Formats: sequence, C-alpha cells, structure tokens
Amino acid sequence: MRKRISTYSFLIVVGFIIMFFTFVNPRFLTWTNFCTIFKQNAILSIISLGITIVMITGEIDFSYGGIVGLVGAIFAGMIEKNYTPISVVFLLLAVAVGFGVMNGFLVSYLRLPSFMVTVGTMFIAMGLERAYSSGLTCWIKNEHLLVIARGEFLGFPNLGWFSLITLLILVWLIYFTRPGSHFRSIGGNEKAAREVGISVTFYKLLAFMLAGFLYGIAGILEPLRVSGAIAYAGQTYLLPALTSVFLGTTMFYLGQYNIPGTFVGAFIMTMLMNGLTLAGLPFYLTPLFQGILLVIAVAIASDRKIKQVKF
Amino acid sequence: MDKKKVVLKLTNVVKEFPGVKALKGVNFDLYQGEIHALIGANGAGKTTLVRIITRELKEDSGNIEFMNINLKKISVKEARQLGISMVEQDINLIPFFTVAENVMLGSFPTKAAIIDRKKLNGLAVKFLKKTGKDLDVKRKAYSLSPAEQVFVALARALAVNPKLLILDEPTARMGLSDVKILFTTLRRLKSEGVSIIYISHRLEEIYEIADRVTILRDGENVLTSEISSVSANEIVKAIIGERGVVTFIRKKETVLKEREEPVLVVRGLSGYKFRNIKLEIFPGEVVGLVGMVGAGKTELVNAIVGREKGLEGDVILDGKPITSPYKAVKFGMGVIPEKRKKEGIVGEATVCENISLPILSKIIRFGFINFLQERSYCKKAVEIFNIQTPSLTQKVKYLSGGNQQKVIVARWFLAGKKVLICDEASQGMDVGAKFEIYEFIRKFAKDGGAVLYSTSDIPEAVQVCDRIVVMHRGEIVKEYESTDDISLDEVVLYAMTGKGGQINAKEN
Amino acid sequence: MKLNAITAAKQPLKSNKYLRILIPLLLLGSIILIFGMLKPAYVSFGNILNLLSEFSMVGLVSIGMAIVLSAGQVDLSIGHIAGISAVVTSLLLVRGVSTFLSILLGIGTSTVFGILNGFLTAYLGVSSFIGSLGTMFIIVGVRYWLTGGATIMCLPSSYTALGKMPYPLIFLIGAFLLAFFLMDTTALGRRLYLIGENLDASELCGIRIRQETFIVFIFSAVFGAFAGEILAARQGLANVDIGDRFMMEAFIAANLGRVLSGERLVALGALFGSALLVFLIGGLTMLGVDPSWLNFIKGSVFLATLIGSIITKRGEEE
Repeated sequence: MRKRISTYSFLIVVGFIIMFFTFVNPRFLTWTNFCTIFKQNAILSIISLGITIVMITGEIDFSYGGIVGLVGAIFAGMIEKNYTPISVVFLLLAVAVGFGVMNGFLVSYLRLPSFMVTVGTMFIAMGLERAYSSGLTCWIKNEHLLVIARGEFLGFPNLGWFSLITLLILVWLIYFTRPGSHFRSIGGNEKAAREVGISVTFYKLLAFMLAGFLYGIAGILEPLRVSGAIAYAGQTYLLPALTSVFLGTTMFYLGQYNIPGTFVGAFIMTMLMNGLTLAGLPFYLTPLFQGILLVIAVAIASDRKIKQVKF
Repeated sequence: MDKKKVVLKLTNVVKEFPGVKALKGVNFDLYQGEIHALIGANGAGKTTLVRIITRELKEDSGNIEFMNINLKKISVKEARQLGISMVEQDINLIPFFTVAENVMLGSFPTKAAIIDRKKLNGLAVKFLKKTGKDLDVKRKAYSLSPAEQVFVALARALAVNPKLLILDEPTARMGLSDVKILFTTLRRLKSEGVSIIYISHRLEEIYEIADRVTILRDGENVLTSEISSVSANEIVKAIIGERGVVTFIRKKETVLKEREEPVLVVRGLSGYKFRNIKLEIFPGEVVGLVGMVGAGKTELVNAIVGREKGLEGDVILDGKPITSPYKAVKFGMGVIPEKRKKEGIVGEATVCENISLPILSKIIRFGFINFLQERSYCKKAVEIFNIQTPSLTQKVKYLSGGNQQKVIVARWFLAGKKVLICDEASQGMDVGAKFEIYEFIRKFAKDGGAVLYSTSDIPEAVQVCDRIVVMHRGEIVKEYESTDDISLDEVVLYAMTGKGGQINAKEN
Repeated sequence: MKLNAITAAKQPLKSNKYLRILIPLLLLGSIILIFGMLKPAYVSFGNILNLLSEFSMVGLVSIGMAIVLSAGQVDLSIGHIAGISAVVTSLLLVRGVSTFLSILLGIGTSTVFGILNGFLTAYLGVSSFIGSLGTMFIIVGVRYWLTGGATIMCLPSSYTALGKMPYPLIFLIGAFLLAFFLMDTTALGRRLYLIGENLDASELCGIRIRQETFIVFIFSAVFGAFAGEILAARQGLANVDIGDRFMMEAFIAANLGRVLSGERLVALGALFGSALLVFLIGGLTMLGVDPSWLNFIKGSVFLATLIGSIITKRGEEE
C-alpha cells in the first residue's frame, strides 16, 4: 500500500513540474520542444538502459564512463580517415561488446566484485582513448552521417527514435521473454534462480555484453550528435546516467532497477534541464534540482534501515 | 499390497564439513509411493542428507542410487530433470515476482518469443491446484504469508512432475488447516506413485502421515521402522540417545528465596511468529525457553531485545520499557545472539575490543579509552572463561567457533548486567566448553542476575535451568517450575506436539 | 581464486605492526629517491614545499574520507563540500568581511552539507553512495547560484597568507592529531570502527548506530572544508569548481592507506596514502608526463588498492 502511494506521488510531483514549466513558458509543452528533449536525452537514455540491464541482475557497471568516449573517439577518427562507416560501426560495436565480455568474465566466472572490475574497465577504456586521440577533439565533417543524428523520420527526430526503439526492444527482452525473466530472477533471488537451474554465470555475462553493446551504440551516436568526438565524452554521463537509474527505482517497479523507470528517470533529468532553460532560469539550477529530486525520490522509496557501503 | 520397490538407496554416505562430521556413513532407502519421515535433533544431519540427494551438496563418499541411476555425477539441474524435487526449509522465492512466475520459475512458457502469460498463469494454477491450496496466482510473492510461501514452493517443486519429493519442515510455519490441506495433497501424490521424504519435528504429524520413519542422530541412522511399530517414547529416546556418562548436574540448591519483583516482564507480546507471550523472570533464576525449529523462539528473543518495532504488548526491564537494543543494553540487558558471525562477534576487532564493547563508557576518562584498564579487564575475562587465544589483540575471526562464543559470553558476564538473554548460547562448542558456559550461567544467576536461556537442545535446558518454558507454534504450551520433577521425555513431547500425553499410532 | 604466492608475500604485511609504518615510508622514500635522481629539481626546496602544501590538502580530505569509510559509508561529495567552503569564504572576503568570520561561515556552510549527508544516510536510510551523489548535484547548483559562474579573484593577503607554508602543514598536522586521537584513543572512534566492521553486533551491544553514523559525515565535511580553504588561499582565487578533484584523490589515498596500514590506524593510513599519491603525481608531472595520462595513472593506483585489499582479505581467509 505504501509502495503504491509513493509511486504515484512521485509521478504527481513530476506532473506538477511539467505544469510549472508550462506555466512559465508555454513553449515547454509544444511538440517541437518535446522533440528537442528527446534529442538531448537519447544518449543518456541508451547508456542508462544499458546500466539497468546489469543492475537488474544484481551487479553494477561503471565502464560506460570510458567505453562511450573510446568508441566515439575511434569512430570520429576512422570516419575522418574515410573508412566505410558500416565496417567502423561493426568494429566498434564488437569492441564495446568485448569490454562487456571482459567485465562479465571477471565478475561472473572469477567472482570479482563488479564495482571494482567495471571501474577498472572504465579506466582502461579511458586510457586507450587518451592514447588514440591524445585528448584532442576530432570533428566530423561527413554530412551524410551527421544527418543520422540530426535528421527526422515521420516528424520525430532520429535520435528520439533510437532511444524509443531501444526502450521497446529492452522492455520486450526483459519483461516478455524467458531470458529476460532469468535476468530478473537472478537479481530477485540468486539462490532461487540457482535452485531451479538457471545458469547465473551465463546470464550475468550476457547482461554485461548487452550493456556493452548499448554503450557502443551511444558512443557512436554521441559524436554524430555534437558533430565531433570530445575527449572523455563518457565522463559527462558518469553521474547523470547513474542518477537516472536510481530515479528509475522509484517508479513502475518500486525498489527494483527497471527499464521503463530508468527511461522515465533519464527523461525527467533531461526535461528538468530543458524546462529550466526555457524558463529563462539559470542553468545551474539543473544540477540543483536534479540532486534534490534524486534525494527526495530515493528517500521516499527507502526503508529506514541504515545501509553500509563496502568495497 | 506388497509394493516394496526401492526407488532411492543411500549406502554409507559420508559428508564432512570443516570441523564437523555431518554424516558418518548413513544408510537409507525409500520405497516407491511411501511417505518416509526423517527425524532428528538440530545438527543431526537431516538437511545435509537431503541436500546431497538433490545434488546441491556432493557427498564425500558413499553410494546414492535413484531409479537405478547412480547420482554421483549428476548436477542440480539434471537431478531436477530426473524427477528429484525439494521444498526447502528456507523458502527462496523471488519477492517481486507473482505466484505464477515463482511456480514456473526458470521455465516460463513462450509463444513466438514472447512469454505466454495466459499459459503461464494457467500452468501455475494447475500446479497450485495440485497442492490443494487456493491462491491467486497474480499475487506478488512478497505479500504471501509464510504458509502460503510453502505452497508456492511446493507447486514449483511439482512443476517438474517429480518422482521423489522432499519436504524439509514444511509445516513449521503453518496453521492446522493448512497442514490438513498439505496432508491431503501428500496422500494424493502418494497414490500417484510419488515417493516422499518428509522432514519434521512434529510427532503428531508424523504419526498421521508417514508410513515409515528414520531417525538420525549425530550423523547416523539409528532407527528405521514402520510408524505403526514404534511408540512416541521410543522415537524420543532414539532422538536424544544416551547423553553420555558425564552430565551436568544442576545443583538443586536453588532459588526458593523470597520472590522479589521480577526483573524482566513480558506482557501480552504478540508478533509475527508468536502470540500473547507472558513471561516473568526473577533475579537469581535461569529460565529455559525450549521449542523446536519454527516454534518462534528466535523471533521472541529478537522482540524481547528490542529489535522489532510495532509489536503488541510490552517488554519491561526493571520497570522500564524496552523499545530498542540500545535501551535494552542501557537498562541492563545483555544478549548472546543466535547468529554468532553475523550479530555476535565483530570479526575484524580484537578479542579485547569485543569483550569491552558494552562497557566502553566505564573505561574512559574524559572520552579517552583507558587502555590499561581495558587490558586488565579483558585479561581477567579471558582467564575466567578460559578463552584460547594467542593474545588479547588477536582478531576474533581467527578464533575457533567455541572460543568466539566464549568471547560473547565473557563480554556480558563482567558487564554488570541484570538480565542475560541467551539464544543457543552453547552452539558450536565441545562438551568441556559447554560445561564452562553452564557454570557461568549458573554463577550469573547466583550473583543475582536473571537469565533467559533459549535453546533447541532440550536435555541441556533441563540440566541447566531452574524453570522451563516450552513453546510450540508461537505459544507457550507448558511451564515447569523449579520445584517440579521434570521428565525429559515429557518436555520433548510438549515441544514437538504441544501436548504432553501419549500419541497413538495412526490407524491404517 | 588462489593467489598463493602473492598472499604469502602479503602475510608479513598484515601480521607485523611495524611494517604498516615501515613499508609506506620505504615506498615514499623510494619515490623521492627515484624522482630526485631523474630530475634533481624535484628535491629542491621550492618543490618540496609545493608538494608538502599539496600533501596537506589531499591529506585533509583523505583523513575525512578515511573516517567515513571506517564506519562503512562513503562521501562522494567531499570534494564539492571542500569547494563550497572556499567559494562562500571568498565571496565574503571580497565583500570585506573579516577573514576569520569568512572562514568560519565557509566551514559552516560545508557543515550544513555534512549534516545533509548524515541525515540522509543515518536517519532516512538512503545509501550513502546515492545520498552523497545527490548532495554533489545540489552543491553544483548552489555554487553557480552564488557565483554566477565567475571566479572570485583578488583574495586579501590576510587570507592567502594561510595558504603559505607552514600553515597548510600545521592544519594537516592538527587534523591528523585530532583524527588519530579521535579514532584510535577515544570511545567514539572505537565505536565507529566497530560499526563499520559489524553493524548488527554493534547495535546489539548498545551502540546507537544512527547517531554514530551521522557524525562521520560532519567530520568529512569539516576536514574537507579546511582543504578547500587552503586551496583557495594558495591559488589566491576561487574558481567555481574548486575542489572537485579532491574526491577522487581522497578516495584513492584513503583506500591506499587502508591497504598499507590496515583498516585501523585510519588517520595514519590516509596520511601515507596521500603522501604517496602526491609525491608520485608530483614527480610524474615534473617529468613532463601529460596531464591526461595522470588521470589514468591515478585510476590505476586506485585499482591496485582495490586489488590489494581483495588479496589481503582472501589471504586472511585461507
């Protein structure tokens, strides 16, 4: 009962926020703006959804902080050297999944703590990125490709489509397929999953691989979005992505990491930023409100027991 | 009908854990279509045995044959496919999954790559029906009562169409009506040819449902018999065995002094696993709290110590109500918890630090710890309790289990507490160490303290305690005063059945 | 995972108290020696002073972080908390408020955020990871609001004087002594260690886990605040995101300290950890290593500390 109240109360709060922003600037609630939010949100969404898959199985993944930047840097670099885009994309997705395999192997088979492993992967990826790009930004001039990120399809931005398609595929995968149920079983009670014979090691590995794949996609789209690969692009998403995932636990499936919650969480984060900008309010209010929102949301969803953090 | 086909045969199965020989060469067989009860005291080896059958654990040596297949190389998953299925003592469900999802865990039906919810629910209903219990399969597992959880776990076990079904203490959390339902189901399964191993403490149930019974004691099979040919008293004797030549004789130089005010009063305490508990403990006495697994002892102890919020009733120590562990300790209570590693010792801390934990405020000067005072305090404690440790600064986690337990006892003993609550205080200790503990408990009482001694080792309670309170299914069913003549068998019967009389073997 | 050779090598580290001090000192000595040989300017008086100043700041936040870690929590916002103190102080200074009052109010502001962290974790049951994450965000917003994004310059000399040696070192030593006495000789410190090591057992022995957990965040906030003040004083100005880098460094140094000097002796460990980190990075910078590589190196040190702590833990279990 308490859970239902908190889920809906949070959404009500969100509703109020939307009303407030619209009141301050009616342009907030327009289709154009809606599309803009989706454009701004796409990369964050995709990354956050990737993290969510891993967290559903009960592990954590920080490696996106490095993989996204690495993939972006190599992508921009190779495109500008006129490699065929398709092969570059395949290569980079393989690389990203490869990182996922590494994560999964170390966590699943060697039973190392995921916190440590994925932070390590993040640093390795960052180091590799540094080696490749020397910290310089590589601008993309290929109009053809830039259109992918800039363009629209049926009146809705491509980036928006990407994030929505990712959402739909993941919702189908996690909530409507049997392998998806295995992910959730492992996260729900690993012992029970083992009792019925689910291969925990295999599915955790799979989760990391899927996350890696999504980081790869995000890594490719990001430079297309901003017309170039900025150094350490992944780092700017480090905190917001985690925040979106945490926010997600306060919606839809209270207390659990979940796909739609994360998507809405990311959306709310971006929406806050967008609304504040339109309201003419200074940009620094964005992190302020995001922080307050995170704290309130998590506090409501939490039981009062003290939790400890162990490394 | 002479249906004596053996479906499961264990020969000389041995299993050792570090420091403990759980199974010392067990022989066991199971006929097809029989309900075979497995009884034994805590630690006798029952759960270990069945976990080996399901392949969750692997035996060290010995032979296991199921339907003429040697199980040596079989995995858990394969065992399940062969038709071996278990409802464990600690039910593991996925809390946020529905009943249906838990029943069909791991094998959700799909139609064209999408989970077929209708079929999922339909199958779940079908298997749940087989358990005889009616539940809404769309309910979330976290909303289930413990008894309902058992039925869901049973449905999950039945979903693989088992030929061998093991139930480990299924009725520990059930009311009588649910037990009836369960038994009807078990009888039906039996008639369908399913062989059942039924682990339980409850004699009245075993007499009602079982065909044969096997009693394990200290890792050995001491008795296997048709249920109709063995009396309750014989069973109890087999469980307890001879208690060894050396027994702790409680000197009955007791406590008939003037009854003062009780130092600990529990009034109308009701909680999740116990109802309307009324207890009064006077200074100078040791009150034993006995009962089987699932009787509610640990939950009651937790409540008395102040760890549960929002309970009905009161716990009053020295006239002051206890609402949190902090208050409990402050007003004069010491606790020896059941889960030693998790709640008892601070493993990373030294022996000395563990011992001085509750009395920190007494060894400080302006907030600074008086290390010399602490050291002498701990040294005294280590000597008194004969704690084996290379030094006072050894981390407690390196000590043996028995010595760790001594540290916990020592911690309270010199701390000047009025009441000591012990939950399985002598666990994991050898006989010599156990006697040391008993002596200290008695000394604590003699010096004016009060002790609530909760244990599942009934002979121990009878030897150590002045009064005995027996719990069964969350209620106090019998109290023995210090002047009563306590018959061990009778106490055990009360604990196992809630009643003291003779049990009649079931009519066939 | 059997790492027998490595665990065997680590055994003496754990069982011998003197090694906990000796090995870090040796490492430090080696670092200074090696860099000194590669680049003599490293051991010049000026450079050593610089490094010591840096050491003072990192040491302060590391000690704060170490205290929080020993109670089983984490404070990701410590860097931002350090910064906000400097920002508030600077804003007051340029408006003519007295140095003393400005610093006091700056530290006070940090303390407020420490209270927020403590309240979230100890009383609302929010995981300190998430809670301090939220605090970070909030501080980012607040500091932009206060400064408009501008850097506050021309801080008065009465303030910047505090950034010159020996003041930073004095603050560090003071903080170290305070932390050392607190954690290793008082009952409060003992309770904090015990809470971090076993929360349930501590509660059952009558420790008020909520109150005690709350307190650690105050410490990290105050220590962090001092570090922030020193940094601003040294720079002579306060940029908007001043102090952010401290979190990473504090975390690395505190963990390094825990591995080298054990999980008690927290203040000393943090001191060693920060010294090693600062002198190492300082030396590499002097050798002309690219700044972007430095982050990578910091990360590797961090990983090494995590691996180290896992190895020592598993070694103990065998």
